Amino acid sequence: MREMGKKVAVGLYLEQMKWVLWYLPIIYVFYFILVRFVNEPEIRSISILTFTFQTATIFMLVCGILSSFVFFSQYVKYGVTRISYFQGLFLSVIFLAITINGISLILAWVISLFNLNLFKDVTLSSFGENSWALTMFTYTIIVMIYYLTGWLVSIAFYRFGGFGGLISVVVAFVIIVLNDLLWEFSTPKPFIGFLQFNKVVSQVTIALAGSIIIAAILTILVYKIIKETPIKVT
Amino acid sequence: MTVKVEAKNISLVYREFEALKDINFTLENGRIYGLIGRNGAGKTSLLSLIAAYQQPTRGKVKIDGSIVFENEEAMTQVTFVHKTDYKDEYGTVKQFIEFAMRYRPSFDLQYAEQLISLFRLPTNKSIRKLSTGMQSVFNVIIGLASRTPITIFDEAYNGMDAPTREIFYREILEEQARHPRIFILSTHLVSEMDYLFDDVIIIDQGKVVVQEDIDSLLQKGFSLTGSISDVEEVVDGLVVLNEEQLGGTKSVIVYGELPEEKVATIKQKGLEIGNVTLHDLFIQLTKEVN
Repeated sequence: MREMGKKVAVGLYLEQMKWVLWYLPIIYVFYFILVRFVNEPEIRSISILTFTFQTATIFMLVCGILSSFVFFSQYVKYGVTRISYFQGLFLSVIFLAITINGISLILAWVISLFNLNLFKDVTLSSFGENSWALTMFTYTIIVMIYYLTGWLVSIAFYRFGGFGGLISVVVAFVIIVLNDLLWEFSTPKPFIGFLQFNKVVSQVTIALAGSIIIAAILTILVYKIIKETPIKVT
Repeated sequence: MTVKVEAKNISLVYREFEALKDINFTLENGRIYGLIGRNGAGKTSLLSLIAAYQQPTRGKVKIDGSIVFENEEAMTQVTFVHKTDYKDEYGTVKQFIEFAMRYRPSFDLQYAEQLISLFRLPTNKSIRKLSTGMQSVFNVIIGLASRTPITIFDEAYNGMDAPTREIFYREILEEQARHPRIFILSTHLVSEMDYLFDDVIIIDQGKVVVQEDIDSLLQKGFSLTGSISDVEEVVDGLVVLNEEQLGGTKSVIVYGELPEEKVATIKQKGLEIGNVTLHDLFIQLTKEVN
């Protein structure tokens, strides 16, 4: 890891945390309103961590898409190499995913301490009541995958324009479907039911390994595209 | 500090369009280069290679012997100021200055503040809300205060009024005296900026037509005026860039070294010799030949 990569990581983390500081409070308020006023067993059993995680996938996807248009050219214009930028953004994504899930995990824990009647049906995640570390780790990997997918799409559009970008959308779609197939608790997608896929993998370790491989493939794809991407003079 | 920029046999091809064709040049520290060329001549493409915005299709761009593309050390030495679309930019001038300070080790905050007050640039407004001229002023301040050994201004005066442009030009000269570096000024406003240049690079249709120090270049070009027959006799065998005729009088712009015998003939025939400006040379050297 280059020194500049670390410096960029800190800069990009702080920049994106501004978005997180808007996003998280809104999601938390929304969660409390839902749990308080919607009398659905499915809603009342969901933990704040799992609820946040499910929306964080989309939040991270959007952040990934924005990244190439908001940050990329600006950093290179100020003398940062594409590789340092790549390293920095990748590192910031890890910390961003940990932060979002970490804050939600702490909140879930604090809520569990109070034994409130409102949250009596809440389960941390589909891994079970005391699966704090496993849930945290899995959610972190999955939201990272969503960010990387957004990043792949945006950098492909930035570099190749319309057609190359559209190809990346198809690749991203396949990757997201594959990842969703690995995890039954991820955001359910109607087409999975439509295509009548069965639950492919149930073992957590295999699913985790699959997700890590998907994350690695995405990271390599982004790296391959970004390392020679020309900067637009605009 | 000695900094040298070298372009060796560089070509740049966009799909089937060859934007730059086999370009070679060397830029030396402490000089101000005027890069001039018509619209679409390849100026911005050329500058974008020096700033590592992209790689040449063929050839090499080097700074102090190292290829510039993806070279951290080389890239931190170049600031490329160009017209930038800020319509989606919500950050303020202050935030951008902080960003520049973070990633440009040579950035001089004190100088930036002096320039901000000199140009009367508001710092708390988001950049998108500044006028086009003020956005250009902001770009210029970043370029000057970054104090990188290679500073490129690509038509950086966009939207600036005449007094602001004057301040900008004066600052370039004063900065060059205080902190000598390679300045590259790409411009259409040749007659307004020619006094800034130490050297001139004229580019036309992707090729370098001229690279020379400005005094030698201007000495190569001159006008001759006299009777049609006398002028035609004298310019026979010389490179004539332009000719105009009014009644029995003809005026031509000649480019190139003048042989001794021609000098004698000109004197003997009493032809009027005049200077040409860089502006004239630029127009004539890059005009379409049908």
